[in-house]
Amino acid sequence: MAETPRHHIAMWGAPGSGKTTLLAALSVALNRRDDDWKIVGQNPESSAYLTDMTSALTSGKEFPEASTALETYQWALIGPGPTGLFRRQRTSTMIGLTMVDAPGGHFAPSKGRTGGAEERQEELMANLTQSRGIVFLFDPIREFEVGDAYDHLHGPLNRLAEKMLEADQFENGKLPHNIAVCITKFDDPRVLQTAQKQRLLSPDLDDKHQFPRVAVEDARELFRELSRVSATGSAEMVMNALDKFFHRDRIRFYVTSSIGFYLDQQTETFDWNDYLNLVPDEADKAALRIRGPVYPINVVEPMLWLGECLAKQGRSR
Amino acid sequence: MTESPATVHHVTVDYEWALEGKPPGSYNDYEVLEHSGGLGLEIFDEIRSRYTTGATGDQPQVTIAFVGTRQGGQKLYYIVLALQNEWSGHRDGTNRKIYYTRWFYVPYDQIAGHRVSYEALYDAFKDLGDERPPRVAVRADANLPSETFEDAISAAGLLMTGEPVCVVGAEQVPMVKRLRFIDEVASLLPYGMRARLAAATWVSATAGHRIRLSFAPHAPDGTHKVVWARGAPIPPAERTATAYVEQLTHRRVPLEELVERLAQKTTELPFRDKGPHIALVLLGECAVPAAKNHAVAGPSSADADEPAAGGDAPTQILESPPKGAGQTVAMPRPPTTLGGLIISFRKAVDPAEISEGLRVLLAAADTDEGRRQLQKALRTWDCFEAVIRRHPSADRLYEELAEAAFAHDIYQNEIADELLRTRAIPKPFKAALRAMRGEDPGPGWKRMLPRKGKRHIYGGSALVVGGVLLMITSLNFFSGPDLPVAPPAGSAPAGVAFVPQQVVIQADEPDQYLAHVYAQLLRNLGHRADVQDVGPLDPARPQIVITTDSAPYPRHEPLMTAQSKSTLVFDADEIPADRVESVLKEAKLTVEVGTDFPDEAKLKAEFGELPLKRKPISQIVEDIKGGEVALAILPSGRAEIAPPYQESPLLDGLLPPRTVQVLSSGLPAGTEANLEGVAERVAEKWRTDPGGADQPETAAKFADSIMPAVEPPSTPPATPVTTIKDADGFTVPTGVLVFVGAVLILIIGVVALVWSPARVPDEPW
Repeated sequence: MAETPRHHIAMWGAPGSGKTTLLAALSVALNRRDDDWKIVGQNPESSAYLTDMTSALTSGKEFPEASTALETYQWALIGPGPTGLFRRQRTSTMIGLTMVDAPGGHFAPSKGRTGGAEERQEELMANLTQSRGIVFLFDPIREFEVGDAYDHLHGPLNRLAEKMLEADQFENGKLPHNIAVCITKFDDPRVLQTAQKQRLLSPDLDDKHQFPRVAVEDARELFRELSRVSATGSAEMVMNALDKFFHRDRIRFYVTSSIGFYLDQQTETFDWNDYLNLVPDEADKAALRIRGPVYPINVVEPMLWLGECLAKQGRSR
Repeated sequence: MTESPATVHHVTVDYEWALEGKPPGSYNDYEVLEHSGGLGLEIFDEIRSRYTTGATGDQPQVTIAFVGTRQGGQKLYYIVLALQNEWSGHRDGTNRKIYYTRWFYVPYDQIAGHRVSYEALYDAFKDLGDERPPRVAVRADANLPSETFEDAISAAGLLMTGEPVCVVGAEQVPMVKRLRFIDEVASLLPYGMRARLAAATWVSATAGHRIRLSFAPHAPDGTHKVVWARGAPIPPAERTATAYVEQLTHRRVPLEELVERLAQKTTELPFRDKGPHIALVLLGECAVPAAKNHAVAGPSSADADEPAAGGDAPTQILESPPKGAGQTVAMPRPPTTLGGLIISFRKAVDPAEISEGLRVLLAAADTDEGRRQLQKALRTWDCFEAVIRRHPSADRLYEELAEAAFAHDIYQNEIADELLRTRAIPKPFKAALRAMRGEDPGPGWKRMLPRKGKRHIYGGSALVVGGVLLMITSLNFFSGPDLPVAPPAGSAPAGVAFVPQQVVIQADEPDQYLAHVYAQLLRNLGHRADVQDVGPLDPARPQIVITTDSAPYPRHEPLMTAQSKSTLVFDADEIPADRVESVLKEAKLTVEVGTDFPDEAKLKAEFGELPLKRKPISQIVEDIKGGEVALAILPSGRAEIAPPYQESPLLDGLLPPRTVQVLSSGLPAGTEANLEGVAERVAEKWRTDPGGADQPETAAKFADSIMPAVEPPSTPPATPVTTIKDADGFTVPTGVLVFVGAVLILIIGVVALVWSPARVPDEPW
């Protein structure tokens, strides 16, 4: 096999925002789709991660443990070749992805210039400057309860800008990255109901399960709406910071859920009266467990969009 | 391993610690929650970040790391041990389990030279939990391997490439066994490489980590892969690694000897740059019989185990003799044990031989155990006076000898005291000891004083001391009873408050000495301790029982087991061996026995009115040395029993060995570990010299010498009201005694100052 150009994509988000879970759900999400896209590990450890995580989410119904080190996965997204009236059909498309999952604490504002904070920042910047795609996770529940999404964005963003400027990597006054902003935990009633009240839900006619969805073009609006209930009121600055540092056409919003909604296996249809897929664990009341099969929502889409954008830009990073 | 505590050598070490975790309900990432005060938060935080392994889950794992710090202008290395994945019982804000990682930092120089394994460190710290005594006892002298394993050799060799090594295929192998493998690999390297080794029993294969030797399900790119129990080929281009494996495989000494010698190479050595090259040369020195290379007897300084620059091949040429010796000395294969070196040194005749022999001897004795052995030898052989006096620079050699034997342990050292009292000990040696104790006044300031200066100093000092004591006691009287006093806010360093526990110690009459030793050891560990003579023990209280019958205490933990055997010693010049029995039966000669000798009734039953004279063992030994006693009963195996004195088996049947056990219950794990750590020394002391008439004092002195009192690192414990028990059972507050003492000292000071000079003759300067 000819060597595929690799594209570095970095996960960015506060601790507990769902970075690791989103990656863990990627394989399941692809397998739920009716198209030809699939994900394949490009080294044994990356393959093992896909297998183990799929098994944990489907059989064990467990969330993956949060990453404690900078984890790097080498995957390939393989899908149908491009078609067109004047384009010759190719057998397949392959997008080589190097996904880097940093612990959320790496993005946290440091409490002092400790040696550990320096180490973590250096590690993070090396990853971000190498990447041209970013998956930024915005956890509306955390924002409502803690309100620190902006804290986890502006510090590293300024450092990244500084590094990129230093390396003369700015493009038209902005960072060259494509950024997929994922509003996570769509399965939580508070997020779903906000989308419903704002009339941002749109049916997907092709979806046999009739899961509620927020279209890509409406996701930004939901982000804005959720920002209003931030515990600190700083979430609105997240959107402004993104617009200032990234090209508008390289930002795309997604409303996502890694575990999706609960689906009655008899009716196989979404039920507004019974959709919670995260419930208290009978064995350990303090814990939560995944109730039924997982149906990830908008987990593959950000990756495919980033992969395709980077492939088009011809950057082999 | 089921060795009794008495046979395991431990080394007591200081340590720093940090607890990594999250507060319950936290939305943030892991952080350092608490830490000790000896190092700054920035160091703990940096190290936890640098050596993160990405290994998650609820399986315990161990990570080993290192850190070099600069303290007071000196570089100090720590071996770092992280015990990972202990569920805290709490969850974070997103409902995930919070796992603790407990970090322990042990000063490298406190374990180097003691062949301390990582497993021993793990054992010492694994059960501490939130109770952290100021010091812990760590098992030393790790077992020497008798066979090599292909994968350990492969891993050791591959580490010489400077690149990380990952062991795969060990998912089902228990964690402790993986840790033991890391020890096996490390034992095949010069010990000094441990000061730069990061290793882990498990890492995430996808994590970007800095662990040099790790276990993982897959070996990532850029890492050498070793398959568990199957080894790994060494890339031919890696010449140092290939040569290292070659040396290990085709060594010319038994594996035990090789590992023992590598453990003596304690200078810190990196895995990069010239490190592997130096390691290869050091291995070359250790892998050939010592006759070819006597340098392995031990380096004389921290840098002495660095090989000569440019030496690719194992060193085969003997070191040059000291300046002035004139020619190369062809030495026979030197002995490898300290005892052998001592014997060899005593045979040295010419100055070059004496210098060289002493150099090797002192280098080999550069461990705690070695120094203890050397101290005993100095006492037995009068500081090698018969040898050293032949050397033209005898004074300098005595100074070196005193420095090497006592520099680490000069205060409250019974052997040093004894040497200072013994007339046969050369004066330069005594002078060196006194100088080390700060007793040497030096000629300068003394001469600057007037002739009656000493009297003024004594008198003035007495007045000052008396005055200060008087002030303190007066303040105490006015401020009420000795209530526990809290430290000022913010004065305590970060850490967990150390709460002293009252421990009861019970022992039979013959074992009161041991009881007082343990009482003092416990006090030195920050506990309060009482020796209880009678009455049943309260099972709920922390306690130590010293007994010859452990059956009534099935739930108690053994701290120490020791066996003492008494033997008859006779002066063969005075009593021929075949006449000993008849001399005893005649009952004319007095037999000297120890103060605690328990078998007088048995002796009298056998030999009628045999006259016995009870003395402290140390005095009997003095009598033997002076040839002043014909018959004595002593603990067997004492070094002083030398010709013309001989041991006789005549009373062996009558004086059976006595086994005493020290059992504990309810003691904190750290305290138990500390006590186990000194068990061997306590047992040895009890076997050879079980105290005297003044048991509490000598016991306390001995306990202080093996484990000095250390203040807890955090909030000081409340000071209990100490009382002294008099003969009638009344208690006298210490404060009153101090007050009376202060007044007496004041009076003495005044008398010293005003007394007629004619009545206080000055000592000659």
